[in-house]
Amino acid sequence: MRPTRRDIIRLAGTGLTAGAFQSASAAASTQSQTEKLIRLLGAPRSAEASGQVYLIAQGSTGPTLAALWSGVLGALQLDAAALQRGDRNALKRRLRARIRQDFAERNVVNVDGWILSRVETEICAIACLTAESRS
Amino acid sequence: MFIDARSLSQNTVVETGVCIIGTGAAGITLALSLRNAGFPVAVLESGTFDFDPATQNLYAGQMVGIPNYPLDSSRLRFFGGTTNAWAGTCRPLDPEDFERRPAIPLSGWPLRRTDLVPYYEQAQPLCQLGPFEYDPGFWSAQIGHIDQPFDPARLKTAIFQLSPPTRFGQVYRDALRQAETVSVYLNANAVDLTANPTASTVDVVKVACLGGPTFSLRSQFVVLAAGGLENARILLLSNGVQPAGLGNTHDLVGRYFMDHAFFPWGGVAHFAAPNPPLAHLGRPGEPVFGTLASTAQAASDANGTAGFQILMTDMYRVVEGVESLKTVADALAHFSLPEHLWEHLGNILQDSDAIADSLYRTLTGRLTSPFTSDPTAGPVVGARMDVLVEHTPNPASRVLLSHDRDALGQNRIALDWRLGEIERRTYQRALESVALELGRLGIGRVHVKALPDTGWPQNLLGTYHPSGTTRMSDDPKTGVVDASCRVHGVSNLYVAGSSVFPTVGYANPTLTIVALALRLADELRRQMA
Repeated sequence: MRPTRRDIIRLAGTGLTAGAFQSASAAASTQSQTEKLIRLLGAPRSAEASGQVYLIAQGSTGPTLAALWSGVLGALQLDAAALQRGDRNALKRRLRARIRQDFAERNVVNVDGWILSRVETEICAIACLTAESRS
Repeated sequence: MFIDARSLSQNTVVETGVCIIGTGAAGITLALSLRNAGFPVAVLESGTFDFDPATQNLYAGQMVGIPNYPLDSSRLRFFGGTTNAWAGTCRPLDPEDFERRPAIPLSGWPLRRTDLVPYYEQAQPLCQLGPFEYDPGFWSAQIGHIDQPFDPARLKTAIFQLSPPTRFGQVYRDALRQAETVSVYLNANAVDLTANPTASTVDVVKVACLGGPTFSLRSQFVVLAAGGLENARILLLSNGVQPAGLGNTHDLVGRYFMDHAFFPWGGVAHFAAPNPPLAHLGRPGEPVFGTLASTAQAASDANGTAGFQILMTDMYRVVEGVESLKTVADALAHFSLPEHLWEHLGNILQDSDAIADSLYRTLTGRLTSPFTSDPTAGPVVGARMDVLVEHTPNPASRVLLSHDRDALGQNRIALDWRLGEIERRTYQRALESVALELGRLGIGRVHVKALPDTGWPQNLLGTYHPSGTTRMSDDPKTGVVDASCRVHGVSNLYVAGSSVFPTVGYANPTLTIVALALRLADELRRQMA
């Protein structure tokens, strides 16, 4: 499943308003750390699609879930507990800043032609690897 | 005054001070500049005031390299030359275009941009442009666009001004008609520059009319202003004394042919929020537009890329609301609510006119509805990105004489257009630079189209900017003309136009062509004094 234009638009729109309003059913569910991380990008299915493309391109030498988590938390300068308790809007701002820093430092990944930041790519990969457990 | 050369007697000899061959932007600029100089000027134009197929056919030739526009459709052979068809896009070359760049072989002009600025300023009104002002900040204040704070190591906003476009042959026809010292010969094809036995001067310009007389001009000075391809052709054909062509001691005439390489749909940008404040999204009717372009800092980089510009074309959102309506309807049909319900409701409200239009046409089968909305009025959610790359000097990219002959019996041109690794790297760097900057500034993401591993994409185009075939250099081993645009070793022969460009940058050439012609006019006045 290749990331579509709509997928990327939704990923790119990591703004404070993205995902601000949720359906009643989603709001009622308990958010795991993974779910919370992925929803920072605002579009879980789009993230899964992009992550899948990235992981397929990596092949057998691709990162493990643990390595991805380590990379993301390191990039965001958070630990798991801080992610769990962190305010959603504050986390989104931190992620947005990190994404911009990635682009400033040329820390980017080509995902099927899309130039994405390293940290957002890794979150997408996490979304893909955990899709089954979250569905 | 205008003279139909076909009315001259066979073997007429015309005496003049300066003979200008060609009436494009360079030739007409020169003639205008010299009309009050106090000496006679003769101008030779192959065609008349209108397109003529037989005359135009003299331009036909063949491609033997990368396909480019056919040689008889990429340029026009009547009074005004290719200004009869140009788009009017104007920008001076950047200062770094004149400098030696470590990654670009044979880069560097034998003059500085500051030498040309006074002539650029004069060139502006000739092209019916505004002030000689290309600072994005100036135009932001004028027309309200906002310049993004791009990293100067990666990108800048390059401002282009739009000429009406000036059809030089129409706009300046009366001025030349009334110029007492200027005689424009129509239907006059320069077929040979006959040199003295040492090929150190041009003694005679031989002229032929299609189906008509031949005659000649004796002139103190001769200026080739026939265009980026034809200038080289005329020199190569003038081989009565030097078999390789006049001024071609070092086998440079015709070599280093350059044309900007244009890659349509090199990438697509998708914006995180609609209508980002980018000056590159110009509006119809405005006198300027912006593109994303390479920077001076990048030019000094030894990593081996040349200049580039990226032209962005708006992509509009038309049916987001319709898609949201479908998403909500689909969820309701399954007795659930979609994620981001409020966002979908917002889309539906925002695009209510498009939804009404779509529903009306679907239900009635009609092509139009009373609710039709203008799709171009919608918010801008993305942009197509076309990539234009500077073609760097390459001796294998060249104009040659073919065995085919035209109606005057002259060898036609074969064009061998070649691009190389620098152009390939520049394309990649251009798109990468935009992707990095749009991401860094939070504007959006970019999808890039990779080049094939070998060769070039099928949709690669030229840009009608033939240049470099009589390149400028102080050293005769690396240039055909010197910094004054005089042909090395030929004391009374000069060249005007883009064929003298040693490098081409990313900007359209016409403004620089006119500026150089104005500068050459000063030089000729000095020589004639």
